[in-house]
Amino acid sequence: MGEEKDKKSFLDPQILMTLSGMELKARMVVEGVVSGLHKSPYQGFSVEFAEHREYTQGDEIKHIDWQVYAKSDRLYVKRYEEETNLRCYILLDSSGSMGYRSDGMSKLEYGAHLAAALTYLMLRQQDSVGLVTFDEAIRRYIPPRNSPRHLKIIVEELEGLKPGNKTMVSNIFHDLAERVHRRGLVIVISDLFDDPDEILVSLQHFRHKKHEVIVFHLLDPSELLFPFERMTLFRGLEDGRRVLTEPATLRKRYLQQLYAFVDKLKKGCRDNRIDYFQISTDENFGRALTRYLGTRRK
Amino acid sequence: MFGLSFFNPALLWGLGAAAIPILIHLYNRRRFRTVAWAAMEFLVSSSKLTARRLKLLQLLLLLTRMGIVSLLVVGVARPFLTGGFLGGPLGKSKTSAVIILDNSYSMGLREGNETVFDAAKKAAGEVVSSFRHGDSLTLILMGERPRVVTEGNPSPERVKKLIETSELSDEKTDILASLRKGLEVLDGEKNTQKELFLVTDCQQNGWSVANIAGWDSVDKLMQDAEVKHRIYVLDVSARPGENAMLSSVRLPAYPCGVGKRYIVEATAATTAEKPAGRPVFTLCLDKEGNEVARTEGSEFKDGTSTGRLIFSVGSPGFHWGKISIQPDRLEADNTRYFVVKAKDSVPVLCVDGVGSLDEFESGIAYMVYALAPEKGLEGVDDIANVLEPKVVNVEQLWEEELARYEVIVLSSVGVLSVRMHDALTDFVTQGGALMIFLGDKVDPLEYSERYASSAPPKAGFLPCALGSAKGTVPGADEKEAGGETVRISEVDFGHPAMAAFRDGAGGDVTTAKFYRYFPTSPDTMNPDIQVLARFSDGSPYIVERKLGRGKTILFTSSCDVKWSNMSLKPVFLPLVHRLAYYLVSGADERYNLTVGERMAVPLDAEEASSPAEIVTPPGGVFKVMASMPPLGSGVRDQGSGEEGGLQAEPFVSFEETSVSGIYTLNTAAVPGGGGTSAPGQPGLGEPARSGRVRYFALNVDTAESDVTALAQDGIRRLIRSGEMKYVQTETGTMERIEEMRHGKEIWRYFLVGVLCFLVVESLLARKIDKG
Repeated sequence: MGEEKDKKSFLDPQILMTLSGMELKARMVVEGVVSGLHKSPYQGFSVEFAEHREYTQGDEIKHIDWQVYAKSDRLYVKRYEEETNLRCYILLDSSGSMGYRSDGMSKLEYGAHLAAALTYLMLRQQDSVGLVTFDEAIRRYIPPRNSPRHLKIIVEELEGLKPGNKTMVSNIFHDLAERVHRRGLVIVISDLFDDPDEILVSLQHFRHKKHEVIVFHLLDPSELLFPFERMTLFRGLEDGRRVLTEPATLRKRYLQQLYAFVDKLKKGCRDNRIDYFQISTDENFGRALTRYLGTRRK
Repeated sequence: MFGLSFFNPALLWGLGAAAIPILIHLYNRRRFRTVAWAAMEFLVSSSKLTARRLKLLQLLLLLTRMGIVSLLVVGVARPFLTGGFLGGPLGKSKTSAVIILDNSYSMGLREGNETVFDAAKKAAGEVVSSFRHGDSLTLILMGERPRVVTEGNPSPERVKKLIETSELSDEKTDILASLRKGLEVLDGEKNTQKELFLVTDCQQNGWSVANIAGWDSVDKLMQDAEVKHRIYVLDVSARPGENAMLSSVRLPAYPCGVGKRYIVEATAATTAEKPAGRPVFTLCLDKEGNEVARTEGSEFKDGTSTGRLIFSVGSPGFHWGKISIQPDRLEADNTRYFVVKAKDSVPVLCVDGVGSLDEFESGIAYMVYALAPEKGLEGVDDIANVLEPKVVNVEQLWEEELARYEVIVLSSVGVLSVRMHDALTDFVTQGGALMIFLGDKVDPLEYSERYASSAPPKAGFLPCALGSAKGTVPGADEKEAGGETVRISEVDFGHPAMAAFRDGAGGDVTTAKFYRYFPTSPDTMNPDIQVLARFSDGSPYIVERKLGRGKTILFTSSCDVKWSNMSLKPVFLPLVHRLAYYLVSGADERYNLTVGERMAVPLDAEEASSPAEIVTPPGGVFKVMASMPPLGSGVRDQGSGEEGGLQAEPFVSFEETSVSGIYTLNTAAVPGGGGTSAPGQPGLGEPARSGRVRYFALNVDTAESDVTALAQDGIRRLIRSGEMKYVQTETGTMERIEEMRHGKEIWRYFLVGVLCFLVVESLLARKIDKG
């Protein structure tokens, strides 16, 4: 009972109810269909007819319904609701820096909630979902499955997560890109506190392997605003470095660097057709997800 | 050159507070919170980029904050610039100023149509015009007693008005007292600028140059002052020139008798090296314009000229006179006033102790001739003598009412009854005069034990105890007797009664021989006992004792010709007269005063019950109530030697005597009194008993008449501390003063500095916050 309750709270039915009202449709790409969050890497697989529409210039000829043409002497194109068994990999950063919290949830907790919600949605869409947690190495790899029991496995893994060591994002991503052969959807949930150039290269690696990549960049509001005033000793969560300073004197420079970092990531993702979505951990994660899906439907 | 001074220098200790920002900085560095942080890369790189610049900014911020505290502390200590070129352009800080305006009578020296005092008022007015509202101004009129005439914190306009309406006094200058008063006023002021303006003719007698202790005290006042005083001496003296003055009016030593000639001697003095002509003395009596005598003075010799003015009065009681010489540039010293109390006669009771048919045997006959030499002579009724002797023997003494007499003379009187002794003692203590000649009848033991007692309740009238008679009475020829004689060898010429015999002018007292006398040892430490003359062996001849309101004079020899030949000597007559007049006329001194002196006179109980009225020469009327004198006040010894009297009497006192002239004291009528003197009353020197009107003559002190100014160097030697500036008003007073008085309270600029530093601090803090 208790375990079930934890799961429910973890997945917050109110949020899920809101999400279920939305159609999780991915953008259609040239080669596939997107259902829910992802786009399908395959064509004509497990297709159900939906409706006809009048042919317009640019439509592929193969989709013309010749029978209708024969009967009505007009060109109509068939439209389909297509489904596919997509493989989705959720890559959750569990390094030490993800353990930071200013108030409320830590980035790791927030990421875990997000990962659970996405898992639930994916499984409901009959997709296979896998989970990879990592810091400087892969800490846990749960291969994609689409059985309902798989949700429990992933949620249990998420519940047990603790912040680990240093972040080595790029190495992990390169490693995973090589290990995952079948095209799928790669969802990265991380603060990405690593070299941005190397991160982008590693994300490119996924793209190179024909994966669709979505990056949820988690940042704490204190990291975004740096609101400290008094003399403060900052102690690094990953490497133990210490800086004693008056934060106000560094705020401007810090924020400049942070936003330059974020902008660089945004631009790199955009250039590589990677969905980049920045979330502040003080934002309700369900609302953040809804906001993201809203942008994705367009 | 200029200097920086502080009104509250002790507050500069607060500069230590400048360390507070450093302490806060260090404290804050030790007091920090620890945050576990994820985005260390950004933090570390930001810190590296900004560290050097931030350190510099933080150092500047720290210095700025220290500067704020320092400027604030210095500002609170109220700094001000003194002197130099900065004071002028920056303006003038609030000032406390004392203007001492000399209104002594030497300031009345005329120069054309204006007096020096007019010029002084003009200069003082200019000085006052240079002040603004908010400055503290005090006006002191400098006479013998400095008078603060401003009250509260008057505006410059009000002070100017007071200066314009100030009037000359007839007092002399006492710069020392006024300066001390001015410095005391300044000491009580809080402004950072303190100035004292001395507007005077710098008359040298007013500077009290010889009063070294006084100037030392002024020097100390200035040295002890928190703020350095700036003293401006504004010399308004006119061109030096000759000045003639009526330097003195000497009243005769004898009382003024009704219908008798009364001769006053007036002396004029001049500062001119070659006086042109003689002075003409005019005398007005009782009413101005009623000239009763006029005489030309002698040729000026050593700068002085003397004239004798003779007049008589027709009624007993108080009379006043005014003697003048020709007016000149300084009018105040050309007139002097005097007050005399006329008497019909002075009854003298001579007691013959021998009782012989031959009055010459006891010597009393010599006394009578000496007291009234004109008696029985034809055509000498108008001579001045008013002494009327009457001779009685000891037995007849009982029949006499002693209170009728002013003087009683005892000649060789033997044993007196206790009642008679007490009666004589009361006579003296009530103001009567007793002259005692000794002789054969005198028992020294009896005299010493009974009459020389000083033990209460009834002190004896004798000044001292007597020893056994010394010397041998010669026979028909002293040489035959072969006895030793003594002469008078030592005389106290300082005593008013003996002054006339100085240099033998009034007679040679040393010519008399004394064969026999009673040696005495008076208590010379007792202020009431005074030896007037001594024999060649040192033994006293004339001893005076003050007793109550009266006096006793003891002659240690007799007045007959057996014990000495004094009675036969020409000097005996003036000696007896001088002593008698001294005894009966001394009280008039209290009515002839110098300007600035206090008028004080005892009243009868009946008079004292109602307010008295004093009319001053300018016509002012003051109501005064009699009061009892405080112990040791000295009121009753003024001119009469009444200190130590047996019973205190009410008296009236009046101090506003800055103008010369005649002051009139009107008291309530005494029931039964006729408003005139009552001759024959004991204590004739007590006019309070005799009428309702009394006059007081107040004359200028002629020391002020020498208008020679003290040179600037001399002034500088006196005013040693402080900053003294000497300005001659002829050469642009205010321009020179303004050049000298630059000074500026600059705490406002420190406040502005604090505000500027606060702005800088705010900008720096914002800059640092922004990183």
